[in-house]
Amino acid sequence: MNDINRLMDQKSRRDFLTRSTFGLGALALNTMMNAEAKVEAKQEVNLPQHGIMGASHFVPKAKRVIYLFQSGGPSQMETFDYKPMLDKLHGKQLPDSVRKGQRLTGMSAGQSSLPLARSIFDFQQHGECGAWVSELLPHTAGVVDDICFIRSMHTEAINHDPAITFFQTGSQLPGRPSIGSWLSYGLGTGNKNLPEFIVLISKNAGGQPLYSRLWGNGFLPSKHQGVQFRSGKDPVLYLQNPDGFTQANRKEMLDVLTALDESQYVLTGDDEIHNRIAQYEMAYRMQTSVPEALDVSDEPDSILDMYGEDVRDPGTYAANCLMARRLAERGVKFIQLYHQGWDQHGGLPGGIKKQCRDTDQATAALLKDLKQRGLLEDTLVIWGGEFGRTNYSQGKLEPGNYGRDHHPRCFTVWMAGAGVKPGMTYGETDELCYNIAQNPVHVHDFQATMLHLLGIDHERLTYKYQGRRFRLTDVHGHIVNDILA
Amino acid sequence: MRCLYQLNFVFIMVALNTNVHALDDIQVYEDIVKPVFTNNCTACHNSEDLQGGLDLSTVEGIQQGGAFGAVIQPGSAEISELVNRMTLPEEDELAMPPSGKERVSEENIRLIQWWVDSGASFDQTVNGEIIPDDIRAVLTTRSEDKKHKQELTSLNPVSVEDIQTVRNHGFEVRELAVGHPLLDVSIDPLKKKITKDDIDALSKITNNIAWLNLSRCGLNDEILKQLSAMPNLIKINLSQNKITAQSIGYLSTSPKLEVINLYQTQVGDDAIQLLIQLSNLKTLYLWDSKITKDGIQKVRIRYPTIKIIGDTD
Repeated sequence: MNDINRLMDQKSRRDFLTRSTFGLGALALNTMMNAEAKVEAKQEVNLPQHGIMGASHFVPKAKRVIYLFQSGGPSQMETFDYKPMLDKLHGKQLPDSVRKGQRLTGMSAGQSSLPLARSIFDFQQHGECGAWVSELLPHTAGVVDDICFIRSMHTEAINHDPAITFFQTGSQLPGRPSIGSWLSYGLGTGNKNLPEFIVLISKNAGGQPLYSRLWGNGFLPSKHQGVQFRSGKDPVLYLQNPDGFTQANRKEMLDVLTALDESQYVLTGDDEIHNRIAQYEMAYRMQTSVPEALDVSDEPDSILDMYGEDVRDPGTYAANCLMARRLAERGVKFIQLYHQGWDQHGGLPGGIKKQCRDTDQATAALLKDLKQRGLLEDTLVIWGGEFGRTNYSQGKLEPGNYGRDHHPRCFTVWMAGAGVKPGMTYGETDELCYNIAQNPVHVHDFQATMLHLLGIDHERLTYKYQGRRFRLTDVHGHIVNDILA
Repeated sequence: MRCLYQLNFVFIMVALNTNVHALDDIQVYEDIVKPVFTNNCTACHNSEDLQGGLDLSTVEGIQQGGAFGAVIQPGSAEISELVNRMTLPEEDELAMPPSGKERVSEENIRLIQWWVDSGASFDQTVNGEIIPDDIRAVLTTRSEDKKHKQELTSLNPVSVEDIQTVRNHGFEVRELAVGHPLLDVSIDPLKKKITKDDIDALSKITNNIAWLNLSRCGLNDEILKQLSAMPNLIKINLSQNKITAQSIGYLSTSPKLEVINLYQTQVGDDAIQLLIQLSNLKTLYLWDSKITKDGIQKVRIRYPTIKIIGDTD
């Protein structure tokens, strides 16, 4: 089979029909064309830019998501899951009856002693809902009445990359589309001038690496991949035309390029060429939309002060939170923040203190800011890492210092905003914070619930690849109805 | 003690009855009971399969009962086989629907108990009688849903051409859900100077707009005046525009309005009187508007069900 034949096989059905009028019986062709035309006529209210679904499966509560990913695995015991029993059993060995033979990572499996470690930080109840929050998060403590804490998250992965990949793509193995790509594919955009999936990574944190495949499109068409903004003064490079080069010149250049690309498409039929064209067109529109979206000079001091000092330093977590609000205002569907450095195997008290200091105020400010603008009404905000941390100390338990290893069996994430019950704490861990005592929420349940809030039936948003239909929740996932408002 | 409890109960019922919602559009069997049977039972208990000799898909079948005899004792849910089977623990081999199938929800079981207790009539409507308050609450929701559905099906979808016209004026238009007649309409965030012509274009689809976002587009009272009535509007965002109480007056043709966003507008206390006339109002965003703290306080006291988001408190 020659190359042309091979490529012809890859062509979409519609192309096949329009290109091979001489190859099929006219009658059969007509019937098929009509059937196709009818399907299209029915969906015309929604545009191609509205994704494969055109509109949500059912009326959505959330129109967009801001996901504040705390990469590294924040300890639940120093943040939101208050465990007075650990005070009593501080220094005692983790009982086998609690561990139940669970695998540990290679980092602490060899330890001869697994001493339980209490949180060195104090907890208090806050807000009308009385949620427990540690002293490390005074600003978050101030907005607990808008938050729904899920203290019974659990995952299947025990190391960073598989665990983050699992959260973002529904599989521990790389190669599946990420959440934002699924949304871009399914629902498209609410603002054709900005990408529907934007990724912002804090520059004021480091730690376990993040790979760009975490916002990759997997097997979906490549125009659905996340667009990462750089963490600094120029989040998108080369937005300005060079000196002497007008916007009209740019348009002309892109038109010629598109014509060339189209002729290549006629020759090869490679659908990826159209994705490339779409990306050039997006880049062209971003020359106008991005400077407008990113120009924070119109933000008054009162708003900047709310986010904290870091907000004036582009690329920090605080600056990214403010950016997230501005992008949400402009209809970006999925805004993915990453803040690294929550991986406190040792020196936890100092490490987590810094992490909280760098994120707490801006996180709370983002919620307040969204709320006062009415955006929390239809924006879902998510805070959480890829797993939790062990209740025993990794390394030596010393007065004032300890570490914690990875722990997939229980941890806390929270959601706030569109369609989620505010001021709620859902699920419970056991007294030692090792296993889940009530209402476990699996990663696939979390994903199913998020899609549900966006008006998507997680079982119906699928993509056929290599002979089977894939979805974000694979063959799993139950909606956590109890947390829906 | 029991006597006292009952007296108390009657007292509550009387108190509630002073504020009875009209539920006369509800046909108890057709609207409440039959959908439960259809959803949970008739896959097996129909006139062809007749599992256990029982057909729950017709009135005759229900009255006739199954292989063990009658399944309903009108007036007493307690001795009705149908109700008992639904309330058995899931593992019980007599439980219905059988283990592994979707259970009948607590709420639906409660409704069926009430239906049987009050005579298991097949043509009963709800009118003025004494109804336990939990049942009344459910019936009220169902009644509203029913009305809402009827209204939606009577609403004509807008034509694709009209939507295209609106889009050409810089609006993003989407169905609330696939095939839904109501629309979600937003102004392009890059459009900073909306005109009367743009608002005029909207008039072609105003009947169908449920959510409208006109934030930060240079809107003022004079331009908004152009907007025709929006009877199905549920949420509107007018924030960051130089509009005043006058604009709120235009919203009186939208009785279903639940959410109004007025942050960073010139709307002042003179709008309060107009706002509180919207009987379905649930949420008001007033941060950085000209409505004073006193004004907000007054609304909060008189209308505690309206959620007001003012300052970031």
